[in-house]
Amino acid sequence: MPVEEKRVRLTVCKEGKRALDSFLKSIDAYNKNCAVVLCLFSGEKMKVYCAQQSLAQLAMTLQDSGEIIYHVGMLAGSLNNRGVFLPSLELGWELIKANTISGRNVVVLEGDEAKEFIFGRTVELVSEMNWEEGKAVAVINEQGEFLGWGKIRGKRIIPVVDIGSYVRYKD
Amino acid sequence: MNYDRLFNIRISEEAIKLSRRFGLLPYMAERYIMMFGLDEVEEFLRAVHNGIPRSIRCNKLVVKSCGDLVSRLEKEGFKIRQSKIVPYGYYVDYEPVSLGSTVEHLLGYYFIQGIGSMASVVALSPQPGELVADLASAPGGKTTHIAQLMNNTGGILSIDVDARRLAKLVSNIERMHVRNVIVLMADILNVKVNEGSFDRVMLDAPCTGEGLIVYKKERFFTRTIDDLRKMSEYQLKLLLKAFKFLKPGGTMVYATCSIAPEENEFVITRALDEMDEMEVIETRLDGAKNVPGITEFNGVRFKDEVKNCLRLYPHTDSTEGFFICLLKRKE
Repeated sequence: MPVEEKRVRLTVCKEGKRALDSFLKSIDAYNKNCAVVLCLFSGEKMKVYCAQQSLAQLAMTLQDSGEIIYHVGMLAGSLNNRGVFLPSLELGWELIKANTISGRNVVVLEGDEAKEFIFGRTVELVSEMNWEEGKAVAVINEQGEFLGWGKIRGKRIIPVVDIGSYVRYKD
Repeated sequence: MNYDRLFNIRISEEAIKLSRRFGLLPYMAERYIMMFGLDEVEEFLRAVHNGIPRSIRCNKLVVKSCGDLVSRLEKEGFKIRQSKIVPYGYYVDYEPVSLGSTVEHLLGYYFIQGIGSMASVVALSPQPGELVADLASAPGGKTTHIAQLMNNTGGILSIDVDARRLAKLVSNIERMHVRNVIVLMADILNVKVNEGSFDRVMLDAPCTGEGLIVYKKERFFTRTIDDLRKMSEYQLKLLLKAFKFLKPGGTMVYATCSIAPEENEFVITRALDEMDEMEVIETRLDGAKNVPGITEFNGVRFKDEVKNCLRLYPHTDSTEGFFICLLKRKE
């Protein structure tokens, strides 16, 4: 599903909705807080946002009057030019908080493993793995707090995006 | 009215002595004598030199109990004390590690922010479901605080012009789990937003940062009186534009992290001269000393209404220097 055209405009976007729905399905999850899906082209990526109806309408009105929209509502993820959907930290937080993701797609990291993960490092797991190779997983700590998205590679979890990125890429 | 006199500072012997003792430019010392009088000025300058601890705002959007957050941080070795002005604001008297590097910070449980800055949003008092504009909003301390008080309902239009600062703003919006914001990259003076459409407006105007000398001592010798003059002209333009965003009956906060009357009461006075629809509402906060706005400075008389504005100082309220003034658009 390639990104069909590069655009700087915010649009109500079926392509973004399809990609989001398809990702959620792949991890047995659903998101109930996405009234309107909006897309915004940014560099090589298309950013996908969830917004309440009234906020989406206001954003479109502002855009029609010539303003440049930089962000609206909640960033759900982004779609790269190969059509791959990369989930946002916000989406993961939302799914864990609302408990709308299957436990089979959640990995709990303890102590130093959790620390390593939020430093953006690959974590070697000691415990037995039952997860599917290459699968996206939501990573949480012992308190059930969302730490980021990872991918399973053998007995390792490779960070896709973790909460440490909020400060690592600040400037 | 000719306001040139405001920027013509005659430096006294006392000011020269004070500037030597405390290591600041003589014109600043003279202005502080005018602001506080000889008895209080040393108290102010000592408080500035002693500094104030950093502070955090507990994010009630995601933290069920701020007491639990405090306990968690205390277990990690932080020493924490509640603010008298903002109940969910806390001073951090001791940091075993940097406040920006904790898991709780990354999880969006708190925002590192001055109590004065928080107080400006408390004064604005945004309500759930309203439409609010936050102008010159990066890095997002006030936008995310406004969202917290609105419980992520209604809408916030958050505007900044600088692309690098916008990236920080958006990062903070995401980290703090805020959902009700539209971010615009725009110059406030040229923005094409419908006038008269907002319930509340926050303008924390760009300023010379004279209130931040508690954190940045270099501010004692990096700005001139001419900087104050130029900044006040820009601030007036911003205030006049921002005020037009308000619905009739709507309220706005004009705030700066500066204690300079030239950037505050003077700007409000000139705005009142230009806008019949503008009125100053009494700005007072529970727990604050509630120091009123200055009505006369360097021989220039400001509008009487500016005494309704609020000043925060390190020696009176243990905050960074801040000016907060609540304005209303008449019905």
